[in-house]
Amino acid sequence: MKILTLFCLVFSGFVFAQEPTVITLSDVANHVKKQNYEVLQNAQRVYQARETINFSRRSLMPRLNLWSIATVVIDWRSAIGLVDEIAPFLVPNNWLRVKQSEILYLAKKEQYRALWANEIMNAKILYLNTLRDIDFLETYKEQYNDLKDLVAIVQARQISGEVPAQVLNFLKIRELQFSEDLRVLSNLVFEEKKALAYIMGLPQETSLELPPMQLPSIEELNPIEYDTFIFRAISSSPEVKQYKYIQSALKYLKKEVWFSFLGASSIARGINGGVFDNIPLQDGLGFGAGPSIRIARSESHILTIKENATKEVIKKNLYTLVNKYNSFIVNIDNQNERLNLAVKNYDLLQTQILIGQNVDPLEILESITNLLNVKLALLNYKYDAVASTERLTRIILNGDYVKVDPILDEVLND
Amino acid sequence: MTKIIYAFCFIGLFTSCRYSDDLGELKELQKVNSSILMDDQFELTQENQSRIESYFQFPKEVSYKFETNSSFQNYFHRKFFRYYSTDFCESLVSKFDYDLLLKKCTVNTFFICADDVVYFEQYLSHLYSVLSDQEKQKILEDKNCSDKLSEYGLN
Repeated sequence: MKILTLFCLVFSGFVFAQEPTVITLSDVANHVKKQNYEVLQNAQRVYQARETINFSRRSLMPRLNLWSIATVVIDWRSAIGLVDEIAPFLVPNNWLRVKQSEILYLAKKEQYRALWANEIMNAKILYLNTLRDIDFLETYKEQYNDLKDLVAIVQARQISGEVPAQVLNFLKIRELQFSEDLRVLSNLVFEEKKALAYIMGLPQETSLELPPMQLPSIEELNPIEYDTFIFRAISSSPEVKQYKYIQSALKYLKKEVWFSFLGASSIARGINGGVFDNIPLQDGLGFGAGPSIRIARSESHILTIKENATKEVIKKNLYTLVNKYNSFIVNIDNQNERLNLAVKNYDLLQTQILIGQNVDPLEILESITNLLNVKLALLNYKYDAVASTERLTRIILNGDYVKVDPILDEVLND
Repeated sequence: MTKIIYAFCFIGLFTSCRYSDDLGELKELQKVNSSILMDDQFELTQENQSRIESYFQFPKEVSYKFETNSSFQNYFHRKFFRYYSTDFCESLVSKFDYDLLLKKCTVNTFFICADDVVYFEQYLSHLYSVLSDQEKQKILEDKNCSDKLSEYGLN
């Protein structure tokens, strides 16, 4: 009985493991938001940054250190030297550190927003690539069947002596090559599905099923303009916003230098505080204050350079995207005409074979290969158009990439 | 000891003035409102986009300051009646214009204006919620204010 139960359990487990999970393009974003490993890890970093603010605020309250109290009991005048423990709120630099950790927390949130959006985009592009390769595979299979039919016909004609043996051999080589291409493509789809499961945070045991999607009719799309999107692309970019926050935190660091005559702060700036590690601060206002300020200014220049560079990268990406998107619309007629001619040519040769005309087998092979290439090119074209729209949506943070502004998040949470 | 008291008084004076600019910005917003949002011909050029962004950024910044800075909160309530004037409601974009702007900001199903435009209603609602009953009463005394706020469902 136990063996039977065990068998049933194992068998049922096997059955469940094979149950395919249907994932549509719109499901991808939801899975990434909730389960992607990078997103989850980074969310924890944001949480740590928020807790650092609480830590910094609470560090303004007096701390209990028995040894220090004992020292004060022995000599009450030593309390002056212990102000950082007894009354940390009297040290202005501690307040400045709290302010810095608050601002750097917002910078961290923007970094999280950028990573979050990139992971969603990568997952969606991977999904599209997988779906495209599944379509490629189906197209390959169709042409493979046509090739097999051709080989059978040529084999019969070779027996009757109409076709030389080397032509048949050549066709068989191409048939084997097609079979190998199918194997490679199947493996690629398999690997892509595993990578997709990983990026969506699903267990590797999951068997994914991607239903076919309705590809856009490119002829009906309208051309887009760079000027329409550039403002939104830059103003909503979390990559640009993070530098603005770090810049404003830097202002408080400069104040720290001037207020160091009232004591240095031992409070950490938080998760993102490392960005200021190369700016030296003296414990007390000394001759090092000047160089500290100059290094802080230089750091500010670096941040401005980084911000400008990021803006230019966004512009570059947007120009490329708009150009690519519009080129799809302009050139779609060319692609359709190519397919039309390839299909016509193939049908003509098929008719000639059916009515018993002597057609060169290599010409038929050329026609099959040509038709395959044109079909693949058109499929690729349409998937590329969808991917470009997806990239545009990411660059302007629309659709699945909308995430509530960090400040609003704070305002509503509090 | 007297010196220390003077020093504290000076610091208090300094901190009580530092937010006046934030609230004074309200008057600037009125100009933006009348120059852009009321203009039927206005187009979403980059310059206009920036001006719209600066207009809609204001409630966000005040809301955030309110939540994170207790001295600003105190200052806000203390000085409210000094800074408040009916101009405030003139500078507030009407719900009709706001909805029109949202439509203009949508091109080919893409939203192309700043994020702050989308979140404006939420910030406005937050700002209204932090007002005391007396402050709300003062605002609602003015019919223009009362009408505009009720369009946003805040009255």
